[in-house]
Amino acid sequence: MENKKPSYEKASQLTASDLLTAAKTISVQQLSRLSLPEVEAVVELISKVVPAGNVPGMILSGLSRLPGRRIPAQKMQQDVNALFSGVEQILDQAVYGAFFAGPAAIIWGYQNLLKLAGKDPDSAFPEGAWQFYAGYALREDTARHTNETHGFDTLLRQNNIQLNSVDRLTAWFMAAATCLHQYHALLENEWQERVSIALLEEALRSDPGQTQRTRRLYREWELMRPYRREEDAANYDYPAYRRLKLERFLLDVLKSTPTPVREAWESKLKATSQQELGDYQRQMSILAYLEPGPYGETRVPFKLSDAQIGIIYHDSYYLLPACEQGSNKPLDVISARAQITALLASPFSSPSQLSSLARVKRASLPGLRTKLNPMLVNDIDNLRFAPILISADQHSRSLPLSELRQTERGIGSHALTIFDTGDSFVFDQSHIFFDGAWGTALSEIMTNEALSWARYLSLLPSPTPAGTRIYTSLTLQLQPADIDLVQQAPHIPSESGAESDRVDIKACLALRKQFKQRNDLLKLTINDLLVLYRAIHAATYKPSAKLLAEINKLSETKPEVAASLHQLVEEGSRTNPSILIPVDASLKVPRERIYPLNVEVPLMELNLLSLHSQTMRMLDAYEDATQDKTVVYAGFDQYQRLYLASLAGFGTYLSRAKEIATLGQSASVGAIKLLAHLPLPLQKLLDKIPEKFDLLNNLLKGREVFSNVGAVAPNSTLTRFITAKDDNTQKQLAWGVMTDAKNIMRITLRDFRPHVATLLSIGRKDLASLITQDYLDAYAEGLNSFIRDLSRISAANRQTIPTSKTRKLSRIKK
Amino acid sequence: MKDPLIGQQFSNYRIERLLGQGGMAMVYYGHDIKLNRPVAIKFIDRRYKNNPVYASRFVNEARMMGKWRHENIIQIYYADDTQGHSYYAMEYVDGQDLSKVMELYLEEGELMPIDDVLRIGKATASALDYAHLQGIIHRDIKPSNVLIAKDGRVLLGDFGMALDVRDGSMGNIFGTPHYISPEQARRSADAVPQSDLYSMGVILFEILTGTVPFNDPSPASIALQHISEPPPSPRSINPELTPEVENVILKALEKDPQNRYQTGAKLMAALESALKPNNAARISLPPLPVGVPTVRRSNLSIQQIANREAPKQKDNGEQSPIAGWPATVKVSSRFGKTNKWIYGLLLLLLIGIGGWYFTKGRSQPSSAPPAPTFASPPLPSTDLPALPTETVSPLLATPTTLPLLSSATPALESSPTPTVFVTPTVKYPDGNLYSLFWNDTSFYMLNRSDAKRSLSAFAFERIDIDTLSQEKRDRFEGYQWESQRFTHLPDSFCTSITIYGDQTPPYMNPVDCSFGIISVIQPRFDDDGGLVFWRPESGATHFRVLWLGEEAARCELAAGFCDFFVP
Repeated sequence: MENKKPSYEKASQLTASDLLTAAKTISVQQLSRLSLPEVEAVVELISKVVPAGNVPGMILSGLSRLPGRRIPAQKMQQDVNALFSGVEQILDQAVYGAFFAGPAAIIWGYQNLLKLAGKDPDSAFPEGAWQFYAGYALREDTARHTNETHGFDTLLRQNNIQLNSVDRLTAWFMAAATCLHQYHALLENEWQERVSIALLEEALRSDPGQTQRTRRLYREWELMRPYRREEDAANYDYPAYRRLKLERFLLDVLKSTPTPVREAWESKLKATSQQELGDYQRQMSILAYLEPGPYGETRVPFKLSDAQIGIIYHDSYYLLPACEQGSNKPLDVISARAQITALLASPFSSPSQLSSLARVKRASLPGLRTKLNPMLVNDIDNLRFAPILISADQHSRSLPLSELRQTERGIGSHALTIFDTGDSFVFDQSHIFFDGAWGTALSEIMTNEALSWARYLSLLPSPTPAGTRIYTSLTLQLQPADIDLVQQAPHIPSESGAESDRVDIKACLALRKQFKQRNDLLKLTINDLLVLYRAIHAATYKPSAKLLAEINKLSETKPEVAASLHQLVEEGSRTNPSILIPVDASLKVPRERIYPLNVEVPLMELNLLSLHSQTMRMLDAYEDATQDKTVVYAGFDQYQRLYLASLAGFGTYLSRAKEIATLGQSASVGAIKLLAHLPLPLQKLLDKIPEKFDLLNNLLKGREVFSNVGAVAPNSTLTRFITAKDDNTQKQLAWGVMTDAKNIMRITLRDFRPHVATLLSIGRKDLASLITQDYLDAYAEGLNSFIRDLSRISAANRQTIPTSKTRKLSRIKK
Repeated sequence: MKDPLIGQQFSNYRIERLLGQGGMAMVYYGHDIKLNRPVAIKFIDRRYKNNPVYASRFVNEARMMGKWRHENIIQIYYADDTQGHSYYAMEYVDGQDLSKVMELYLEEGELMPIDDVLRIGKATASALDYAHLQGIIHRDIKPSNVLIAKDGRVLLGDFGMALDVRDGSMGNIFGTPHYISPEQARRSADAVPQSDLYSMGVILFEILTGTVPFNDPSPASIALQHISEPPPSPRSINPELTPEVENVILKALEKDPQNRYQTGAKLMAALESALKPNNAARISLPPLPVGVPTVRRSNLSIQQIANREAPKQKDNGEQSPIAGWPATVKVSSRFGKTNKWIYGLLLLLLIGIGGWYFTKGRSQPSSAPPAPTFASPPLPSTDLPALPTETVSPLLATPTTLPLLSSATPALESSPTPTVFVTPTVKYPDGNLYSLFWNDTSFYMLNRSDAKRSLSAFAFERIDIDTLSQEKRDRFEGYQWESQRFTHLPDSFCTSITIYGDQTPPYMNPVDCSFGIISVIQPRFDDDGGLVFWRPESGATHFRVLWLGEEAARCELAAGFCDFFVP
């Protein structure tokens, strides 16, 4: 059976081949420090760890490494072959269990059935496999990501503009209304930018003179795309302005493009646009609400003329139409201002309590709504027509974003909630409507739109309340019976949040430069370093003395809880987390948005921890040596070579893995595509598997999320970001990273580990926060130290190494 | 009668054609036959040439200024008093004057780009500082005396009213009222160098806001306001201006010369600093939302707009240069336009801070000759044949006395059965669409296009069939709709005429005007002042729409509504 046995091997060979191709692009002559055999050895090792095969192969290869469930190699190979040949009945049920082998085989069989039926698995979902996955597995409250901009208040302050509370809210109301009216155009821009440039790059590849530029076209556009209207945009709204900028950018490229190439590009772009743009805009539209079902969310679109903007004031909900009555015309600013004046002057009503419903699992909401009081249900239904909620209640900016958002925020059927901190605005976004990059972009755009309105409103006379009110006040109070029902319903995991800006980004950048100078193969990105150290951090974390003291103190009153916390720390050090990294898929296929990439850093396989400590020990010995250094240096040199080769191999592997993910060919994407073809009950069945099989969970969804949205644009006022996590309860940590315009890297951590719920239940939220913060601080500080070590290792050589005396001095300075 | 000067030669200069004529002088285009270059030649008007004091001073001052060398002052080549004529020859500048450039921007509903404001301001200020150092006060600083050459140079011209501070004033010269300083308005001889800087402050006010600070049908009233009224806040007219810019402008317009900037350079340095604060860490605010009522700053450079030969034919969308892409729409957002309150509120705001509400435009006769030394661009093309309108009146074949109409509107064929329906004009088929609605008691004009057009460019008159007298026709001039705030009709907005009497008449209030009506003229029902042109009197069946004096459309009185296009 030619196709059986070689399938798994082929997958490994494919990965190795890919990696080696990448590695060999650098000529051997350039390798001053790393030998090619060293690189090849690393690549081969990694390709065995993570083959780029199809999902069943991936699952089985992972299963073979499952701690405590190790299957004899021969047996595993036999079963892999069996699975690949489609003979699922010969699978050893006793080994794999009904929950795993059955669905895995079904996935495989289903895929083949589709092919036999002449269906292309990729085209079965008009909204793309990712959109399916978002509605299927990113539906809970924890699957919302949040970011913050400070531009509104900063720029008003800088320009000596002081707004009263009415105009502050009106500016944001108008920004929200503008957003709804322009959303279609904003999405068109997003699509055009990606597709037109991707097609142009493709077209230009045939032109040798353009090769260099072709590679960086989108990057060039990224650096110049505007997120706000500048002085030259007075006649254009934001989408038109951005569109104009894109046109100018493209024209600049096209002026040196041969006419046939240009015409072919235009023709292809037109055809693609006719074929795909409309679907994309429908898929991404914000004019929809989510209808929860037992297996996923259904997006229910509604008309712009029906759209409302929700306002939360003193914990009560109000709806103000985004359009003039019965039309698609936006509500004019003067009317909106008068309505908001009246709203803010109205007597307070009883506060709503929807935040408790927001934490109920979405799957149970359909059942719950049949039991809740009809008035509450009616107004929850009315609230669905508000895709954007604006909370006028001020929330402390000192809180971590994950905590700041734990207030009235609807029940999660809408796209966006905006919170006012008095000094900044926070955007809480449903992953079903926004991925991280689009979400942060929209926050920036809305902030600038709100500033335009603020500038205008500041010029008007004092507001007066409207005589006739067109806003609606919602009655969203829970009766005692409702509260009982909600409490009894299944809830999402409790969460604790922490934030840190301690990472020394400059040192990270300097190290990258140093690596590059040393050897082109050492091409770890900042994100690679962050991910690499995350694995090291997981393996080496030790709680601080302060935290230990707090835990010990707790043991006096709650010994079992304290013991579980100690256990948590110990378990953490044993786990090498499978990390889910969202990779931007939109450059290839806009509708796919994100391709998840699961990475398990091969710490043990590459022996990185040991290599690091030994290399450092050797370096110290070399630096401290007082007599003949030749021998000591030879020892250090050997470790240095091996360690740097290992790091280069890791970087190459990750780079190739990202390339594969970007092409939509990673195992996770394959799994999602397959999932998307299954009937709903089977999808749900499969969803339960990760809870039973840790490794499958790791492979399919990752143990934790690590989302780095990168550095913001120079004029951006984005300042914080927390990432979403999918609904899998095994996923316990979500890391968000963003570097702001002042070059400060902010890392946020959402902690869903079981101890959080335990500590909250005993009223020790403070301790839960302390644990999360301690974990994050240890990561940031540890990373800084790691970067310093790598810098020393990388810089050290026989010629330039400082003498022991100067080295000591430099250490003292540090 | 032929101008006797044309064809004559004075010194090296042959007179070729009249460029312009003012109250005191005439300017001719001429040719320097020795140096073979074009020149502008200014002659004292016949009425003054027999005044030896004036004539002598005219020539002497020209000779003195002929020694000046400044890149922003028009060079005087030669001056003489011969053959009974006092004249001087000077540099001929091919370009536009600032007043026309500003008009072009206003036609676009936009303001001049900041960089050009600064460039023109600095050049003018530099020229003034130079003249002041020579002991000369210009005394007639106004936009039409600032020339923008086609090569981009900015030149200050027409020192014809200049006062040599050593000689004192002749006492009978009065600066242009919109730009006159308070001290000059009180007594011409009181002019000081800072009087010119006040006038320059008025120009800057106008460039940055689109309007002059004081406006009135009566020149005396304007002068009085300069003397006694505080100028309105520039920010109240153009909210995009910063407080810093407003402070600079208001300081330039101080009543007491001592409180103004003492030199042009200081004025422009302050303005530049206010317009372009050098603070890298500070991020500027984004522009106001599109469509809110405010004046917009133009993307067109001064050169682009000054060299433009005809009004741009605009469309709602700009055709994308990339084939297959939809046009990029230059949006006028509907936000803020859907309610006329906003205009009311802004008007109230203006009134509240001392703004004036005028019903008449500010174009007033000038006491000085119009900018004499440069060529005007051709008028908007009128030689394109107008396509026939779909409906006709018996009078259509009657030649009109309007000067441009004969060439612009060829004779139209008559139709035996006029259709009582919309009468579209195709005079400007690619132009901007406007709509008219009317009933017995009200008349509305709606701008359906993206382009703002000056209200004063419109006129309407009934085509009476029982009289050939133009004067007797009921006629309405669009400038009567103008106010200090609105000189142009914003897109999607209406302006109207409603007849009022002793009971409330059934006004039309068309739904198309729901965005807002910016201006209402209200003639009385028993004495309408000849404004009500849309009533079928004297057997008339049509009225005509005039655009810059040229017939742009004919509308049937019985139809009640009519669409037409203007460039």
